[in-house]
This record gives sequence, C-alpha cells and structure tokens, in this order.
Amino acid sequence: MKIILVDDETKFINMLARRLSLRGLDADVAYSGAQALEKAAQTRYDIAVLDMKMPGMSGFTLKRKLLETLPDIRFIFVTGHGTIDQNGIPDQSDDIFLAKPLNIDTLIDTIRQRLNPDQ
Amino acid sequence: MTSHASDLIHKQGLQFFGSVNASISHELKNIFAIISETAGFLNDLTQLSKQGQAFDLSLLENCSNSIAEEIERGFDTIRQMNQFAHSVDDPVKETAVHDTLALAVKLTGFLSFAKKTKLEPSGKEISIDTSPFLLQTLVYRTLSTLYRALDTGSELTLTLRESETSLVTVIFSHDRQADLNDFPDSRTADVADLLDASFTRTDTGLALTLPRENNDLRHKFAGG
Repeated sequence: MKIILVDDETKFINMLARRLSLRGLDADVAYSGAQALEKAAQTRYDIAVLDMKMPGMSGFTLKRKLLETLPDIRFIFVTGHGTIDQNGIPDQSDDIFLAKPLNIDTLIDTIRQRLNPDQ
Repeated sequence: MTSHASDLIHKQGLQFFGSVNASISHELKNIFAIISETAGFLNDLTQLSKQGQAFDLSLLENCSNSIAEEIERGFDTIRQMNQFAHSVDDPVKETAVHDTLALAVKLTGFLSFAKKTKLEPSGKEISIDTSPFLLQTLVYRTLSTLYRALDTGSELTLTLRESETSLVTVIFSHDRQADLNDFPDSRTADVADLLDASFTRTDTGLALTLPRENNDLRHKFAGG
C-alpha cells in the first residue's frame, strides 16, 4: 500500500508520515498540489490524503488532476474547518472527510476501509 | 447611527466578523493538529522505549522545539484575534493606519489564496479619525480581492503615505498583472463610501485614499 499525504502544513504531514511509518505504512509527503502531481507521475499511489484548502491548488482540484494519472487512486480529505459542510463540496463522490486534529488510529482504519471496503 | 451605517455594520460587518473568525479558527486547528501529532509521536517514542527499542534522543528535542514554536504561533494568532475583536469597541476613533494594515496583512495571511505581502515600515505613526472596524473591513476586502486576482508567486507591497495634510494614501503595489476590472465590488464600494475613502488605479496596483478627519462619519454613527 502506497500513500501520499498532501498539506501545506509541512510539520503536520511530516509528523503524520513518521507516525504512519512507525505503524508499517509507507507514506510520501507533498507540500503542494504541484509537488503531489510531480510525485504521482513517478509513483503509483493507492490512496491520497489531501488537505482541502491549500495555496495554489485546492484538494478538490488536485483530486481531479491525480485521477488523470492514477485513475484507481482513492481519496481521504482532511479539513481544519469547524464543521464538514457537505453543501460546500462541489463533488458528490463518496470521499471521506476527516477533521483536524486527526486521530491516527481513525486515519489508519479509514485508509484500510477505503482500500478494502469489503473487509 | 443612520440606517445606512447600521445596515452596513449589521449585514456586512457581521458577515466579515464571522468570516475572519472562521479563518482564525482554521489556523488554530492547524496549530492544534501539529501539536497533537507531535504529542502522539512522543507517545510513540515512549512506547518504543518501553519495548527496549533505541531511538535518536535528538527527536525529543525536535519535538519539544516544535511544540514550543506552535504554541508561540498560537499565541500570536490569538493576539491578532484579540486585536481584531477590539476593533469594534469604538464606532469612530483616532486609528493608527499602519497598525490596521499590519493586522489586515496577518488576518488575510490565513486565507489559502493569500499571496506574499510586505508592509513597508512607516516613518512615523499616521492616525486618522475613522471607524477602526470598517477600515479593517475595507483593507481586508481589498487584500482578498488582490490575492484572488494575482497569480501564485505574485508579491504585494503595502506603503502608507501622507499625500496631503488632509489625506492619507495606502498604495497596494503588485509585481504582476492583476485583473481588477470589477474592483471595487458593490460591497467594498459601500464601505469605502461610508468612510469617504476612494480607490484609484495605478500602473502597478491600487491606491486607497482616506481622509484624516471624518466628522460626517461621526455624525452618521451618532445617528444624525
């Protein structure tokens, strides 16, 4: 399983990647949408954990672009907003939204559930 | 307060207050997220240690430094929130323009589409008689519009000038082209009108001119 974490809060995703690594999960980090696209051109990621609001490219725009390269990739969105308002989300897919601060066990369960929904 | 001033405060003002508070809470959540992950990592290291596994002790120092930095970032954000909250204390008062610009730059910096912005130091303190809250609203809206109009990587510079004895001008200069044909929008223009402020375009940006004295504004807020 190959994960990419994308967030402009560099300390946040670096720490998250370390903690996932300690739990045996292989996670790359990208600090912008553009950097994530560069990495996705080189590596076949199974799942992307994306911040919804990032400078330059939103998480939703990045999702659309990543799908052009990796059509099977799954997504989890992370948000620092107070509430997760589905009305403001221009995408009717079944993507999962998690609020910051994250619980690492919830994130790992969600990643596994996204990749193996039948288990 | 006149009905126009009252409408502007109640409709635009509350909406502005809400949106700024939302962006501040977003910033605080990011800070808490870093502290939470760092504390979680410290717990992970503790568990490793209990299992007899060695780790580089410099990791502990890095974690404590990171937590201290984020706490300072949080305090700084709360100081800005407090300063912004107090902008509604007095409807009209002598207001330090440079301080207002500095706060607007910091508050708009929380927006995901913010651009790199530099506020030139002012040689001396320049104060004007105005509504601190509406001036903050006007500068914030102007910066937000410029951020949206500018490409990623663009830079903005704010300079404060005393153009005449009775006027103060804020220059918003940008290093790249920006489409500002629809600026000011009607809501920004309403705030500018109430403050007796005006915008002019320059080759490299915008100039916002503000009166030093505004007895008419005091009259409007007094309900005359």
